[in-house]
Parts: sequence; C-alpha cells; structure tokens
Amino acid sequence: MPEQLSVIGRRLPRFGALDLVTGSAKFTQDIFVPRMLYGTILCSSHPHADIVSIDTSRARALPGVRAVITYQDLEQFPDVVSATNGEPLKILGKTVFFVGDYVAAVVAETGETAEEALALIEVEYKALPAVFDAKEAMAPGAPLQRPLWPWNVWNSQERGKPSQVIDKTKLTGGNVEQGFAEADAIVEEEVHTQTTLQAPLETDTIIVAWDAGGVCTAWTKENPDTMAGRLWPVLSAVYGTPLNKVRGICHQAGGRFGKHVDLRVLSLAAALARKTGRPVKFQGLRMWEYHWARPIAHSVVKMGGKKDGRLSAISMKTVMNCGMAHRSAAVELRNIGRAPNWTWKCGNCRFEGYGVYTNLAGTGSFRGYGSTQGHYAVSQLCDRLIEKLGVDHIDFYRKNHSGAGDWWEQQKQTASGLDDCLRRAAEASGWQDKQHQPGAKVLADGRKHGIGMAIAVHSGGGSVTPAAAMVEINQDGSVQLFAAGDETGQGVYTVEAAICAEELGVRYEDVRVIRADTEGAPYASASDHCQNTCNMGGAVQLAARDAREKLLSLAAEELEVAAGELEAREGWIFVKGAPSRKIAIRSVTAKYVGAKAVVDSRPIGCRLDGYGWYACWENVPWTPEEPAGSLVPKTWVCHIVEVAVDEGTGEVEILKYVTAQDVGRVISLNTAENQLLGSTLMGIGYALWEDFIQDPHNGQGLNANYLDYKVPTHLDVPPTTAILVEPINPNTVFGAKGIGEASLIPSAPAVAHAVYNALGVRINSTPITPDKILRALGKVN
Amino acid sequence: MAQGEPRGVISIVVNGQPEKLELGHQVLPWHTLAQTLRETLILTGTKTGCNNGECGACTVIMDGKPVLSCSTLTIECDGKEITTIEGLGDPVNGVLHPLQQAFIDHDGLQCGFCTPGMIMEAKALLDETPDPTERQVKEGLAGNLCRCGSYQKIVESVLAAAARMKGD
Repeated sequence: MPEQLSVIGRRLPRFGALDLVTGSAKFTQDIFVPRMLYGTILCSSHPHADIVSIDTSRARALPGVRAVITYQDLEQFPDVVSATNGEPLKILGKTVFFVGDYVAAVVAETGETAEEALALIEVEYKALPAVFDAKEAMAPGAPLQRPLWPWNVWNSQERGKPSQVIDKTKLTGGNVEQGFAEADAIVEEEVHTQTTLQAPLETDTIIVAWDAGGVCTAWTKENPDTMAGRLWPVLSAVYGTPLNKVRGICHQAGGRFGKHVDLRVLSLAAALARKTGRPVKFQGLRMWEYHWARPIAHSVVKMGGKKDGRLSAISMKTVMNCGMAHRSAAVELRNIGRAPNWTWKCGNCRFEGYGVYTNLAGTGSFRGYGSTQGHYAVSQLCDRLIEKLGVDHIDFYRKNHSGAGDWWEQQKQTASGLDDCLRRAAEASGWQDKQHQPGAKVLADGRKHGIGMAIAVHSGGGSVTPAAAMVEINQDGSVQLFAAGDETGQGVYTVEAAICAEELGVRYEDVRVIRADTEGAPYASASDHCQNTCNMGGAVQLAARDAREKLLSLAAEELEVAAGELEAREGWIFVKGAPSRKIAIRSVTAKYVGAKAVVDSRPIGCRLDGYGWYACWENVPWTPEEPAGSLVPKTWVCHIVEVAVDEGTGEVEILKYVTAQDVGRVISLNTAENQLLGSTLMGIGYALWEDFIQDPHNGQGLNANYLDYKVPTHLDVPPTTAILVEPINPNTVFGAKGIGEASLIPSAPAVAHAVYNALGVRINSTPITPDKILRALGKVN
Repeated sequence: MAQGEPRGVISIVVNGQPEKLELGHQVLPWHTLAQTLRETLILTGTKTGCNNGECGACTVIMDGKPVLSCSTLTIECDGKEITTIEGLGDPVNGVLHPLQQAFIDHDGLQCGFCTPGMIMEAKALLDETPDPTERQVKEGLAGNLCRCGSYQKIVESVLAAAARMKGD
C-alpha cells in the first residue's frame, strides 16, 4: 500500500457521470436489439386458486402475437429455487398463490399487441381458501400453502418449532431466564413493521437473446455473474446449456436497493426467445414492482436491565410474513435475529424467527435487509428500558453495545466505531441540551418538540462471496479495469477505479472500468450486503498490485535500481527517498508494452496486466478453533432526530437530522456522503410515509405506484448532517467498509422515539402516520 | 390504423433537427412522446420510470415548457419544438450545459436514472427563474423523484449552475 494516499478519500467525479448527464448511459431499459419481440404476463386475479382450464387460442390468433405459453408448455422446466431457502417455485404453475401471480406469458411484435392479447386468454379458476395475515396462517385449520411445511412455517415440520433460532447463550454460557430474574427493570412489547417497496425508478427490465451457437445473452438489472448463475440451472436442464454459454450484461441499473431480477420472468423470457427464435424484452411494469418487497414483521421483544444501565437479558420472537415465497427467509431472519443478539455485550440473548407463507406477493431483500425490522423492534424496547431505569441514552448504548472481542455469530468482532458515532452525533445535534421530559416542550407555533436517538449495526462488507478482477495497462499508460461489480447507483465503478488508481500509482482519470459483462470480466460478487467495496475492491487492489509489480520491475531497469526501491504515484515511478529520480509510467509502457520494441537487439515487448482474486477469509488470520477477527466488517450507526408534532393534525415535521456512521476508510468522499444521505432519507420514508397496502380481503396490492405509495421528494428532505466516522478497518481494502445500507436502519426507531418525546405516547408500528398519532392521543377512534 | 385511411405527417423539431413522422406507421394514435423519442428516434436519454406521469424521469422541454413525455401523445406534438437531454449540450464540440457540468461537479446523482428528467426540469426552471432560492429549486423539482435520495446534492448542483449562468 502506498504510504501516502493520492486518490482515496478525495472528492472524485462519479465514474460515468458524463454518460449520465448527457443521456448516453445505457440502462437496461435503453437496450433495443434488432428483431426484438415484446413480452408481457397475465397475472392471476385470485389469491389462491387452481387453474381448471386455460384457453389461449384467441390470443395466439391475434395478428402480431408470436407465442403464448402457460404451465402446460413448461413441463420440461425445473422449478426455480429461491436463493438460499432451496425452496422450489414453479415458473408458471397450475396453482396460483397471490393476486398478481403469473399465469401465462405472451410475446408480440409490439408491447401494445402483447397487452391486447392478455385480454383474449380465457382462464377458469377453482378458488381455494386463502390467508393473508401471518399469525392467522400459523393457526390450526389455516389453508395450507406448501405441502412441505404443515403449518405454513418455512423450515418447520412441527407446530411450534421456529424457522430459525439464534441462541447466543450457546456461545457465552449465559442464561436468558436467569438474566431476567436478575433484572431491576423489565420491559416487554409487541411491535410491527410494514411492507415497504424498493421502488427503484427503473423497473425490472429483462432482454434475452439466443445466438446460433447456443449462447444465451441476458441484459438485466442484476449483477451479470449472479444472474447467469441463477438462470443457468434452468437452461441447463431444458436445453443442456453450459454455464460458459450464459452471458450476462448490466451496464447501468436505475437503482435496485436489494431488489433482484425476477428469476421466473427471466426464465420465461429465455423460453420465449428460444421458442420464437427472436430476442425478447420484458419491460417491467410499475404495477409489478411490489413483488419481492420487504416483508411485514411482528416482533415480541422482552428486555431486562440493571440499575447501572447494563442489559441483563433480551429475548425476541419475530413472525415474518413471507407472502407466497421469500427470496431468502434464512438470511432475512438471521439478520433480524442479529439485532437482539450480536449487537450487545449481554450474553443472555435468544431469538426465534418464524417465516410464514401466506397469499400475499412474495418478499425478499431490501436495503437494510432484516436489520431494519430487527433494530426497529429492539430499539423500541431500549428506549422504554432506558426510561424505566432512568439512565442516560448515550451511557446506555456505550455500556451495552458489542465491540472488539465480543461474539458475532461464530467469530469474535473487531473494534466497533459506535462510540465515536454517538459522540459526534450528540455534538452535532446538541443532544445534551435538547433533551426534555416527554411532552414537556412546546414550540412557539404551538407544536410539540421531540428529540430521539437510535443505533444500529449492519453488515459493512456483506457475505463471504469471493470476487475477481483484472487490470490491463496500455502502451500509453492508460488502464482498463475488468471488475464487474454491478453499478446500481451505489458508485461501485467509482470505488473500483479509485482503488485501482491508488494501488497502481496512476491518476483516477486514467482508469476506465469496463462495464459489467460476463464476457469481459472474471467472476464478480453481487452488490448484496454492501459487499462490493470490500470484495470487488479487494480483488481490484490485488489485481492492481500484481500489475504494479510487473510495472516496477520494468521501471527498475530504466532507473537502474532494484524494483523494491521504487514506488508509483499519480502516473510517475519514483525512487523511494530520492523523488527527483523518476520516470513517467507512460514512458515505461511506451517502451515495453506491445510486441514490437527491439532494444539492444532483443525483443522486449510484453503485456502488462494483473489478476486479483479476493475472498475475505484469505485476508484474515483465523482457524475454526480460534477465529481471530471478524471475517466480515460491520458498520455501526447512530441517528439523532428532532421533530415538531402538530397535536391537532398528527403531522410530524423533521426539524433536524443527524446521521453518524462508522464507514471505515472513505474511498470516494462524494459517493460516501450521497450513500449516507440517500440511505437516511429512504429510512425517513419508511419511518413516516411508505406503506404498501394490501387488500385484507384478497391480498391485492393497492398502491404500487408513486402517487399512492409515498416516497420522499425534494420537499421532504429535512436539514440533514451526515458524519463519516472513519475508524480504519484492519482487514479490508485500504481499511474500507461497505456503507450503503446501515443508515436506513435507525431512522424509524429514532423518529418514533422523537415522537414519543414530543407527545408522551408510543406508536408501536411503522410508518408513524398522522392517523396513528391521533389515535394514540385519543383524538380519533 | 386500417389500410386506406388517410395518412398524415407529424412534424416536430427535436434538438434543432426537423423530423417528419408518418402517421399510421411511425406514429400511431396511442404512441406517447416518450415512446416516439426512445423507440422511433432512438433518443434513449429520456427515461420512463412510471409511464404514468408520477416520477418525472421522462421530462423534456416542449416550446420552452417542461412536459411529461410519457403522458403526452405524439399526435398532439405537431409543430412543436422539443429539447431532450441529448440536445442540451453542444453535440459537436462536446461542451456541456452548465447544469450538466454542475451535476458532475457536485455529484448530483447516484444511479443517474432520474438525471435527464431532473436536468431538463431544472433547465426549464432556470429559464423562467434565473436566480432561484433553494426553496424555489425544491418546489420546481418536487415532481422529479430520485429514489437514491441525492436531493441535497441535486439542489446544490442547480444553485451552482444558476450562479455560473449568471456569471457569478
């Protein structure tokens, strides 16, 4: 690593910004392939039904329609499997499980013709009993959703057995009951979080084309390697397609926020493209964008504490409404369960999670995955316990949060940056001077003032997915970087280019990242769990280092010193300690790169490239017996919010917002600030407005649009201070962390505590809307 | 359109370039301006986020006013002059409009999907109000959603562009 950083941490222009501001960037939506057909899907009007008959003859006869497929055409197709549940899901089934489930797919010469054809498909359904509420679905006699799970609970064959248990006492030797017995105060409550939609501006668009050689190319909004890996089992089973003939491309995605490509639609597009011999485009509809959203969670939390402010026990039981399927209930429940367990020093912690199948739309990953519901629930009880014990908020969190040497799953953690976050958020917000008794402060305009605080921790480097990258230096000294992290707005290309430039010793603007395409780049990790900075960045650093070593050995000949005496920075190679002895990188590359140069009668042409393969377990000393240091970094965050609440209307206005996050080393300052601000604002949306409403009678989504599902606008942005707390992470590239998710998480609890502080009444569910506030104040029924 | 029906031409000027679009062939009665721009003229800089007039991503300038091209029928645009994001800078010498440059300099974007619509809306705003207050910028752009939440840096970008255009 260079001793002095010249690129990392600066205000770098976003990679590709010129393409974005001129309209020349190619989002998936912008791809038009010659002879392309347009596809659309007939969706079920029943929440749970068997298809008795389906007649597509009139649709097929419509001029311009090229193919119609139903479950009867897909008998050879395997079920698609959700990411980690391993649960089979039919691409098109004889049974439908929610209003909006897929019944048939049409492709036609135009989108309008495909839409018109949908109305000509005649389906006869036999309605089956349906259930929408998770607790009702667990009750005896509830309509069965999956033969595999007899009481509708994923991973549970036996009534009463949770889907997942996280029992920290097994590691700590603690005892939850004893912890409660020793408590000086105990609080217990049931709290609820709603379904929120990722609602990216670009809908889930998919284009699939086959070529004569059997290569299947898919343009999606997904990481190309992840996409190819998920589509390949389907293509392999039906067409015998090997993985090297599944090509994925994602040049630019218009936001995802955890929303992944719908594997069922992707499979349908591949089947229809194959059947028609034409490329097929499915332009996702806004009305489908509620599929795979954040699941509703109901959590009963019990928390005990001692007079000195130390937690003595936490237990939590969460019922999560998966809808008809969950992309990965295992991961979401695990993340919910992290909030009452690994966040705290307290060893007496236990979590039970139930992932319940119902006849709502399927659910899945969303920024803050699981931690959002988990920390909302835990934080609600922390605030109550702090009040009951009469202790100081900041002291409470300082005493109780976990840190270096504490367990995080099977590993011991590295240092936590939360103490700094607490201190700096408190300073920036004026926390010490602004606290008051609930309901005690009235503003000049008659509204009630409140202030609230919440903390959270989330993965800051995600999973253990390995990643790879390649660097190539040209004869003019410019650099191509093949590192196919998918650019969804988080700024991964900016981060990759900065890391490459720093490690290689070139200028930031000399690096061009080749946009994600499985055909050009080695295996990339998906932008899940905030892992791109650490995983892709780690691979980029190793690739750049590999190339730099080759570069320095060539420069060594020119400068007549050993390569170890050299360092590279901003396009120059210097002799360490004698900076006047230097050579421009482009002078070295001009002489050596390419296969044409002959110097002193010997050919010296070469390729100058580097390869890097990174997996976090390669970078950290650990054994199963002695896991020294956490494999995956965590990012801690503290939010403090001030509100004004109108007791007449129930309206909440955020007066001031402070978010302080432990971000590791900042790679790109603009990008880091934007991630914190954006994530916080999305959290404010979830705290106050965003609520996906599903009809209680049939589960139908009622507001999957931007008019009725309220996402924050320009006018909703409160004065926000984003504080980047930079404890350098010992185990990652330049000490960085992945940061994009965590600042969403404490928003709702912080706002809820501020509203409590303003009014003296608690709102136990999100979003915190005026009607709930007025009800809590006894002003409406 | 059935055979034998009279055909006509929709004449529009897009980014200074006159276009004659044949009715019944290039333009059908239900085609939106967004569709015509993106799929017929292959000007894909204009985005469609909701296709329902809710998100502002498809904003273009028509006869000096911002319009939602997803909610405007092409057959209504005969004789109109339209500017899209592709027509904002100078395509010959590559010089950017001050708004485009400010969005780069102030990182007024993340995924960038809302950016063309946001910049076109801001252009229309500055044409009418060259020296806006922060509040006026927020109100002027309130119909343009940015789900990444880059709003603060977008407002900074617009104010910086306004200052530069005034010659501050």
